[in-house]
Amino acid sequence: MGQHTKELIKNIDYFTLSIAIVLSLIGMAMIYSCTYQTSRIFLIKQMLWFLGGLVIFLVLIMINYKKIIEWSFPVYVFSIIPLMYLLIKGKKIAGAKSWIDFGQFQVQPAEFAKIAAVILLTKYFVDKVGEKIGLKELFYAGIIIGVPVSFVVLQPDFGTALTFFPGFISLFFLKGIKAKLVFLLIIIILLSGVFMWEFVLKDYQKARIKTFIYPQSNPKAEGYHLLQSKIAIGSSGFFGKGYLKGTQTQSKFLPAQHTDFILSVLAEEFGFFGILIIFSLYLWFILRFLKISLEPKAKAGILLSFSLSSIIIFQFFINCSMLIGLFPIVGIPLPLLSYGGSSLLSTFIIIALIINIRMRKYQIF
Amino acid sequence: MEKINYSEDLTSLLKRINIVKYIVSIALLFVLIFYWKIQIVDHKNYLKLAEINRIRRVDILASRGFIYDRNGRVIVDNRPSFNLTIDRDRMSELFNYIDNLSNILEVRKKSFIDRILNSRKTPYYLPLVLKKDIPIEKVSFLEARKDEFFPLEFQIEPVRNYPFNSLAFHIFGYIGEAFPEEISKTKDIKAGSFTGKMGLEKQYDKILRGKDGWVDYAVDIKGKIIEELERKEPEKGNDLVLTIDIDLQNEVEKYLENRKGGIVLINPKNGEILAMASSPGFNPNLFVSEFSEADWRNFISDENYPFYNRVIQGQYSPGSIFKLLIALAGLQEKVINPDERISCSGSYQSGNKVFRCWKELGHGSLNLYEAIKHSCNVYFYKTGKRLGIEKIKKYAKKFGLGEYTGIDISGERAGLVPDPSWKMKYLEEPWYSGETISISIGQGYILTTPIQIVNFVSAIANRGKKIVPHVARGYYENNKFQKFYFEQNPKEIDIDKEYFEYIIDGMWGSVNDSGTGARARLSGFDVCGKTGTTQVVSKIIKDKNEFTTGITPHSWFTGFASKDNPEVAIAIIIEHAGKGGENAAPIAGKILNFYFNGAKRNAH
Repeated sequence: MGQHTKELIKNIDYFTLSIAIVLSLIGMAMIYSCTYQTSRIFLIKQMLWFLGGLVIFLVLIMINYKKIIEWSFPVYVFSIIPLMYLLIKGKKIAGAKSWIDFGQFQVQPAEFAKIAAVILLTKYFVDKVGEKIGLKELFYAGIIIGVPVSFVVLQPDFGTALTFFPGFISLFFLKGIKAKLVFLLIIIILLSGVFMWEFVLKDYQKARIKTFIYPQSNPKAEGYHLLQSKIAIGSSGFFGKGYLKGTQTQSKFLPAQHTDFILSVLAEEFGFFGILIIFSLYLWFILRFLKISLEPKAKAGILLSFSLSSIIIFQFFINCSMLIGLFPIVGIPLPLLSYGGSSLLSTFIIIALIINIRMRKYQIF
Repeated sequence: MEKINYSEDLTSLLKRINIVKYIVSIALLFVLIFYWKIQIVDHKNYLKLAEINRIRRVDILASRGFIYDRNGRVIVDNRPSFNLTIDRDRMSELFNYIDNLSNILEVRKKSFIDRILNSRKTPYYLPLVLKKDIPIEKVSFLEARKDEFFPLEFQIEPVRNYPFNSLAFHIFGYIGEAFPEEISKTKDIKAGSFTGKMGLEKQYDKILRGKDGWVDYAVDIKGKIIEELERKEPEKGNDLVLTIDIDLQNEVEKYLENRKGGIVLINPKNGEILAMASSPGFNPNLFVSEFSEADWRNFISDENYPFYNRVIQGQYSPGSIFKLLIALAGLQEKVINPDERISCSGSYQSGNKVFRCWKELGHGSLNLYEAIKHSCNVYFYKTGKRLGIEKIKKYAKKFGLGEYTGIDISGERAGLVPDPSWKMKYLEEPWYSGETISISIGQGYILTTPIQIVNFVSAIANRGKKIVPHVARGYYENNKFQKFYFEQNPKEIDIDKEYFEYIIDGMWGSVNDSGTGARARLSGFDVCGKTGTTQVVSKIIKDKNEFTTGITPHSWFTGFASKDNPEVAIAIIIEHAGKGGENAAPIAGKILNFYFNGAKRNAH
């Protein structure tokens, strides 16, 4: 083992990795709580995905992230192919063509495409020198994000489509953007919002947004999921009802409890105390990412780690906000805790890349 | 070159990332505050909602109290009803058995299918009832083949049972599912509870009803029961004890078979009703098993009014029975004296109107005793005329004629004793003196119920003490007998005692001295009585104040025995039966014979 390799291993952020593992284990415990009555297969699969995540983690930290940025275009193209395949040949599961079925395992390609898109975007901005972003950059960046997002919206998976944007926005935020362009962006967003409302969004998605804006309008149908989530969270008190004793969870009143609503389950069984713990871990986790983003000597490392961090930050905030009605319910899982292999793997890829950047923080090129 | 650019760029990048650290921390605190609000501040509300979500309360119907007759015999009780049910999760399996099942139960397949189709209306956690009240042989047949009819189960529910079927139907009444207004008014009554709808079941519903229990189940989102959380057993209602003698009741009802009318027997000393029958009747057990809407419609549109308790709801002119009141009033007001002889030529003219006696050739001259015994009309026309309508009304009121008796069965009607102010108010016409003449023999607008008549004759038998008629004696609460006090204040009527003796003598003569009530005679007992024959007057004729002879009149008899120790009073009305002396009086004789020689012997 050379001096160089020793240096790299020394700089592995074991702290971030430990938090990730702890959160994953907590997630598995909660998945067990809400699925053991019906089947243990969920827990077993999540464990396998977790192990897979660790393997991918080990592989990814060995490759210099700059190589990965260099290869980002072919990776990006490669990540879009399954999205196209899904639109043509995909089967609808839970109302959307989001999963490729491999027998026992289902893979959600959008989870990986969002990382590929963010890496390509980073590469694009790394190559741009100086100056604030102009119309041309906005256009190219828009294309990079727009292609996979359109495919995902067409699936239709509105929630996952949203997860493409934090990387995009975070890069604009870092680079700075001309005020005129901000207006343009707002207009584009509004127009595309109207377009989506009229032509793309399904009725159930519109209903969710309506419910978010007028929560009392529809307590039985769309408001129902939110209400059940709030009941689960609110009925817990400070220490919660105890592990495996959440009545909302165990009686299956909570929707999607092992996936998007896993934090409601945790809140019900471990109360506000449990929420405090999770939030502390996450805050620690996120601040650690941001700290790592401050460290690299290379611009590419800063941009990439920050844009990847923003994906995790975004998903965390959207998820924990939507469970209590601060945001519409949009099918975004809570990274590391929610059941789902693709989500878990993509989160581990992000963590691996960020740790990868930290390992090589002293490298300028 | 590039290196320099990077480092310039880097400082601004790092500043911005530092800002994000603060933004993220503040945002997280912000979200946490919302979690605090939901989990700690609003905790109680959400906990309540979680319970509502999860807990389903299933009511357990209480058994109603039994009803005993005066001799302690059970006359109303409960029996188990076996209801065939199926778990809602397994409804689809029913189609494997449906042919077989419809053969065994002799129920059309369609009725099962209809129930399954309608099952969405009932909550999922309750099993679906396929058929109620299955005969016990079929229950055991199906139970023995449990393997074949796998998902089927029996649910046992107490239902009201009337072992004597239609006997005393009008006294008991019937029960039915609670009406919405009962549910909203009384906390204990819930949807699906049973309440009394008529008769004693209604009057004493509070005592008989008992308290329904409940079970709290934890259910899952589909409404399937996961576990039982808490249970409150129902409390059986209290048992009611009646004054009715069921054997006497049975005997009495025999005489009303295929007739319309009512009979009531009462103990004049304390107001205890011994028997009360009304015809036609109905078997209340039929309400318990499934009673179709069509059955209902037929039933309530039946022009013989089987629901109608003629004893307390039938309003009839009292006819000659009212002469007893005229006599008492005449004596007390001193417009007649017992020895005064008044002549009857067969008719009496008042103004330009002629009023007839029932005996065309007239009775000649009669004293009070003879006038009552022969039920002479003219004698009472003259007495009534001397009294005037206001005094007649005053005395009728003293005896409670035209007024509620206060009997403890709901639905009593008041009847009517008219006077000029009533007529002015309701018919907007002045009172004619001829109407007073008609009223004197109990005809015209006057209406009384048999219970008023028996109460009236009881007051005579008691020599002026008025009692409250009642059918319930008390009830058992926790094995302790609680008595009702109806007879606490027998009301003294301010008429001199000696005058009652003249009237009673006349009534005795009517039965025992070849008077109109002779057929009620019972050797060995001094039966006192009075017959009545009431012209049935249609509305139009009534308005013209003329009597018709076209319709067969109602027969009345009322009386008591024995003269010196009155222990039973009776009133009988048979609709459209003809003369009271020929039709009602013989029935009274037979019933009194049973009472003194039959029922009484059996009871002891």
